Amino acid sequence: MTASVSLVGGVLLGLGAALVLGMAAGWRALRRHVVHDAAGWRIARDIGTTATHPLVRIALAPAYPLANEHALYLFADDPHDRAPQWGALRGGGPLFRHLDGSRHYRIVSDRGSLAADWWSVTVYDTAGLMSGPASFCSVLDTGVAPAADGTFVIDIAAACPPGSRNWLAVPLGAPFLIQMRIYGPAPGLVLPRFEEA
Amino acid sequence: MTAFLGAALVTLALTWAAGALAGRVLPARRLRKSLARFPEVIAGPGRLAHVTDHTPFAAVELLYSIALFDLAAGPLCVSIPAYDDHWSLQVLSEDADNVAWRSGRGGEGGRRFVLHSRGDARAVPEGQDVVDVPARGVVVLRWLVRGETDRARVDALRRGATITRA
Repeated sequence: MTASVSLVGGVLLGLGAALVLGMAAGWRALRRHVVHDAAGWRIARDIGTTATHPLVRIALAPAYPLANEHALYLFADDPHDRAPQWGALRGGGPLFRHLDGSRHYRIVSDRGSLAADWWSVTVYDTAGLMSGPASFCSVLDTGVAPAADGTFVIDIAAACPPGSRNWLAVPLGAPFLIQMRIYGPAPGLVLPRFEEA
Repeated sequence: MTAFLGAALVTLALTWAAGALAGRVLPARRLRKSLARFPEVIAGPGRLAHVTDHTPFAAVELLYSIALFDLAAGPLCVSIPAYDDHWSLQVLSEDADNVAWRSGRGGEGGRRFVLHSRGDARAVPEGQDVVDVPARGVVVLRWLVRGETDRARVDALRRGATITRA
């Protein structure tokens, strides 16, 4: 084998190995930083620090340049597709699957208020914050109307479901994201569950 | 065979290092790009920009006040006015790493924080909340707003926040 062929072959092998190992590292990073929760959320953990994996840093940077490690960021998990959004690792969008604007989703807390300084739920379209009044696309903890027993349900749908105490509007049939922010989560925090109604 | 394996290993090592470097450089670039939207911020270190519009995936309930800082000339004092709801101070390095955090609710007379460069032997005022940070970075103040009717009040209040030489 001539030297030049050896070198070219070696470079190609090195690039191939880097690709395979990089994908494996990316998968491990996603599993470490994006945790599936039994309550139906994907939780971004340990982001915005020197310990954050480079691939995850790259993926989060476009949408979250000020990523804050002192808040809990929860993204609603699509019940029908739980695979990671690999395109995000190429800088091609968020890490989480969009939800379907033709469906009705709910956030349900069976325990009432959450153990945290404050929290909010916001819906975004594919480009970010939706146009229109903020009260239609986001709700703060003190803005949630509880039931008589203190529990609460937040409905997310294109049309307000009958009897709903808390409703966030989404575009009919269009993809969207739900993000829950929890600042100052306490050790005893129990997450509300996210589900499709 | 030696050349083949050597080329493979060198290529793998260089590619891996490039990926790690990208993980540092790209977030920092994105941070600078996001800050470039605010002329007051990029005009120079130590100038607080009280942001009124949001980045695409920002929190609707938060008002952000942002400043670059450079501690080459010494520590800086960040003063925030008394606020009756949740506030926070986040310090990011130039590489967009979280390096410091303070938060609270209320606080009579407001709060003062001294940004002090790690390794800087210069003295800081006694009794201050000293925040050890890199020599350069970004300060982000967050103010919680409960309802659109309260936004104007909180906006006016937060403009009382200052950054001065300590």
